[in-house]
Amino acid sequence: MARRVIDITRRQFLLGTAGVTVGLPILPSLLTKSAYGADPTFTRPPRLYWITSEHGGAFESSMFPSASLLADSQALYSDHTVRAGALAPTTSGDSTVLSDILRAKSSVFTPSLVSKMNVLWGLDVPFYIAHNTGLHLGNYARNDGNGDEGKDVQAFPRPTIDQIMAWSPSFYPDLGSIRERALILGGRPVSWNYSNPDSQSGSIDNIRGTSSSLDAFKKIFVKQDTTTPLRAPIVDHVLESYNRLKNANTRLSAGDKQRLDDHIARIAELERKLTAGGSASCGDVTAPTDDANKHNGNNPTDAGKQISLYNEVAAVAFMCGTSRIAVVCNGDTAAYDSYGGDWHQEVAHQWQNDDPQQKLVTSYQSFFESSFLDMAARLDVEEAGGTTYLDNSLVVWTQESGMETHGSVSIPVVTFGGASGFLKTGQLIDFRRTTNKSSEYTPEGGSKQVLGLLYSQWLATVLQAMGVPPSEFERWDHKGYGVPYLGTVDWGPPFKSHYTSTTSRYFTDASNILPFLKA
Amino acid sequence: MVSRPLRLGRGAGVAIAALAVGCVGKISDPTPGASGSTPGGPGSGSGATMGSGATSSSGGAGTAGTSGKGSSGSSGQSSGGNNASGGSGASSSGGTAVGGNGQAVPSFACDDGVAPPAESLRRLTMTEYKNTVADLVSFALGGDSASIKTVTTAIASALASLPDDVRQAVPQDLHGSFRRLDQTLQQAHVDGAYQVGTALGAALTQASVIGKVVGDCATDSSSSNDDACLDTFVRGFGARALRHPLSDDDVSFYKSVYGSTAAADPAAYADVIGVMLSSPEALYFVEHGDQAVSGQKGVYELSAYELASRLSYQLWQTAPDDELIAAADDGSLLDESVYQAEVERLIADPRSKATLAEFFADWVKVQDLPALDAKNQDAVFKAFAGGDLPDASLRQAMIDDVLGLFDYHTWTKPSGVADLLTTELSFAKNDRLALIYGVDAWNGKDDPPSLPAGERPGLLTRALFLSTGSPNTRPIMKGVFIRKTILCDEIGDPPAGANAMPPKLEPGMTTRESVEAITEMQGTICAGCHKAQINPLGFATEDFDSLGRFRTEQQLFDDTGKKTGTKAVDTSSVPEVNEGDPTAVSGASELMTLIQQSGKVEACLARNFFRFTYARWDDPTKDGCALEPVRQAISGNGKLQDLLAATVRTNAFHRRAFE
Repeated sequence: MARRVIDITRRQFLLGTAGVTVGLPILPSLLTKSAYGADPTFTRPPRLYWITSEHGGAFESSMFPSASLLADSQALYSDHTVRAGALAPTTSGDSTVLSDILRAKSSVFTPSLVSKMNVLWGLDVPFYIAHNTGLHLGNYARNDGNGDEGKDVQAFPRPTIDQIMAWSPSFYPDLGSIRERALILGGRPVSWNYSNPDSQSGSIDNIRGTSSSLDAFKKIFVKQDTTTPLRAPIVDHVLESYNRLKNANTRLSAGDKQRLDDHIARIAELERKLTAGGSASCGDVTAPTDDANKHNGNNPTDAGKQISLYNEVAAVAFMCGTSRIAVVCNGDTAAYDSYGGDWHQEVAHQWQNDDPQQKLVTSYQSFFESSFLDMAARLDVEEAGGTTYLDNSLVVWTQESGMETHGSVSIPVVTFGGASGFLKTGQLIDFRRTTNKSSEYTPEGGSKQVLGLLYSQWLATVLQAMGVPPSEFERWDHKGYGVPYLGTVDWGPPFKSHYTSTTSRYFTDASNILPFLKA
Repeated sequence: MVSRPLRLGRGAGVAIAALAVGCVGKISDPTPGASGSTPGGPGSGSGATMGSGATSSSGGAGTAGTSGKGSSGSSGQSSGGNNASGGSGASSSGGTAVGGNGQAVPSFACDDGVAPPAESLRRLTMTEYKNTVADLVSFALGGDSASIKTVTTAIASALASLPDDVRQAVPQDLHGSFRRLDQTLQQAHVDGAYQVGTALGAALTQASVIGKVVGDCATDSSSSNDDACLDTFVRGFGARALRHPLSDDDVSFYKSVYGSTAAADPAAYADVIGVMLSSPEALYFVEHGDQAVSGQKGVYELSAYELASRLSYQLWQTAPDDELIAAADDGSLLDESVYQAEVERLIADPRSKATLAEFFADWVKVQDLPALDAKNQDAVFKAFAGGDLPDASLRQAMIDDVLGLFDYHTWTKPSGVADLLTTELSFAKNDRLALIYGVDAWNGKDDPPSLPAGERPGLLTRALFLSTGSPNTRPIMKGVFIRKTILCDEIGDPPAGANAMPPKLEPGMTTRESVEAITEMQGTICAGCHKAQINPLGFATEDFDSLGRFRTEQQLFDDTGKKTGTKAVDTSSVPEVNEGDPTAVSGASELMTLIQQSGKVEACLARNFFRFTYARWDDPTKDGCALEPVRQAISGNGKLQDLLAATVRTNAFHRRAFE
């Protein structure tokens, strides 16, 4: 298929739903890069964008589209049938509506975007994890230890899947244009990796993000120095200084040596970046004048703008090929509701009561429309071969908890994009085992909850959609991604009766692509 | 092999054995597979159980659970300092003394035969690194202020690219401990140091300054002196940048960086500087030790240069100065009298104030104070605040007030823990905050104004610790803060299923009443901890609202901000500063006295200063010899500033463990 030359939309993609534009000219040279000049559809490497929000707590009836859409079924196991159906929005005034939360102005939330969306229902983390920032991307150990089970799992930190991808030769077979393996945006911890990511050794440390979209921009757009240096870069000498110490006949502890190895690996990455980027530069770009960290106001406008500015940098990085991974860690959604009190205590943890529940729904709807949908809209412009950047990406929103704050039953997962043709889209998919009482749970508020499949299977699905094979991410002889742990508390969800054990089918099949998702 | 943190069973992780705080929940079942929950985990199929070991009775040190063989790689402790032991609150077996209230006072057992945990290469904090670079610039330019300014400007952008240190979340304190514990190695550290090195190299070799930096030999027309010129520079600048004299091998290495350029080449000198600034000796505390310590396997005395660096960074957060280097050069620093003199000289320097200020700021988590003006548009908050609606400056004013309190009682009027907890002086320099306190703003020079007598005694009644940015006080969080941060007690895990039901202002109920109704309900598992350990400590300061204003009544509002009534606040409680102590207090004043008499704050301070000093969590079973002298130094008539001298005088400070 001949590649189209894009004229009309050169700047269009920079306009998100929040109406933020960035002063980055997209040069023809960028859009006519020869590498994919004559690609057939879906040969572009997929990109991953992931945004997280705190708490959860929205009633499932507000979060998920109607179960009446679930027209298709598949007997995953003899006693567990999963269901799916095409997303079929309704219209209310000027809005397109999938649920109380998944609704937005029809001018942006178009039928085309709905068709590129998936809503996943029934993905569980099967133990009492409570507050955490590690669930989203698979480091379950990063929970606040609020109970024995979470505390047990703290002993088993893992890299998050964004970092697995970032250092995977399968995901990045060619790093030539990559300035940052993964953009971590926002000030809260969401991403972890080994202190030595290259050898996958050492401690599991938080990968620090930046709350400044401007700083992120500067990292991925480095002006090319076209002058010929008189002397070679000193990075090799720096590396040698570490090797000299490591190999010297001097007293060092095991920790010293690990630390030197960690640093040496980082020098290698520095060296890679110093020599990378010639083909990735978008040329002389104008830096944004606004910065996400200036928008901390307690109102939906500032909240939306802050994320939109992160989205802006992530979208351009994807398009320029300077990074293929972006993670945005949003905190709570209080600002989307302009709430003046203590959101954590007065709203999130009172999710079961009417007024707080409404506030949660209002804030999530605003978050969906102004922040999450914003990213999808930015990417939904033609890239090549009749596909858009969104088609060649996976854009994900996950929440900290399910319907119960502290709870991890049916973590809402909403996505856009087909990951370069890997995923089938436009579906509501219900993984819950709805026909068996032993999988049911009645919480303090909202409706009955039903257990389904492991969230770890979702993470494994994402990794494979991004081209990372199970051999690169499975650990401890267990399938899926995360930590194979099964809770047994007797006060809450029936994890034990549903999932049985860590050797049950749910765990042993956790590296399989989730039902209905494979294109 | 997967390294695992030491884990204690519930209720076991009590800091000080003599004062073990209860709230004992069930001990987790350590039997593999007993619950059917064994995940296999690392070493799948081996029957290893996550979190299996590590049960102990209250006060006892837990033992690490076992884990199976990892299938690949190894995962270590998450996000801790690189030396973190992971053991939270392992008990000392210290002795006890009797405090002013007749209760046992905690102490730490020092057994000189017990080796401390092996250390890892510690990264300079970014504050330390930036200070070091600044001093190095001054050294290289011979103190020429104009040139220093030029070079400093030239490297400012590169320095700004270095990531700030953050109060590192560790398993024992997920809300963040000390910036010095931020021992993660981010790519930005390596990239930034490289940028700083290259920028500094370029700046120091500009034609206008290279003569100062390298010497005339680098600019004269003679080439015969160029090799000696390079040699002298590498040895001189290198010794300063790397904080030890360079060996001949070192010199050869850096001369190889310079290359074979025949004539003096500024770009080649720039490269030498750049590599030095990115070298391990510049970015880390590289310590090899000297003489073995008798009776402690794998532990060595530091060399004079290593000790000089430790001392200088501990007290000044920068590299040793000329005098300290001279004492290392001739080895006299290892002489006790010389060392003591150096300690006194460094402590007398204003730079040591900045060090303690950072410690105090991180200890009491001043940055956790939320923005106070974020909710000014909210109807309830507006009605609540009335004429005291916060502006953007009030938050920083509250932080400055507390740091001013520490500074005054540490340096201006050196005091001990008792004064810290009972002072009735105001350090508010901001008019709005002073108004909240009911005093005039302090000018920072004269004696601080006195607060209304008996109303606001001690550190913990300052607005910083009372303000929430919302109309509600948070008695639970106040109680947790005092229990964990000020007393170093551990609180048992929240019970499984406790959904953290919040306090909420209900018509007709005070915040205290709401909290009691939710968390102290008879027969609930919540009550076990909340009623004895947490809430009473927070209730004692309920005579201050969430802007830190003194009150005797709580105003009640509906959701529209309409005032619905007032109700008297109740500050009486049985705080159990020491577990089981039935002493009741009527409010903050008596609580502060009880805390002061307990002796727990001194022990807690010693533990926290240890963490700050060594960038790792303390393990009282192994670090007692480092902790006890410090605790003793600040007890009784000891002063807060004695934290500094007492710490650097311990044997532990002079030694390093390699195994």
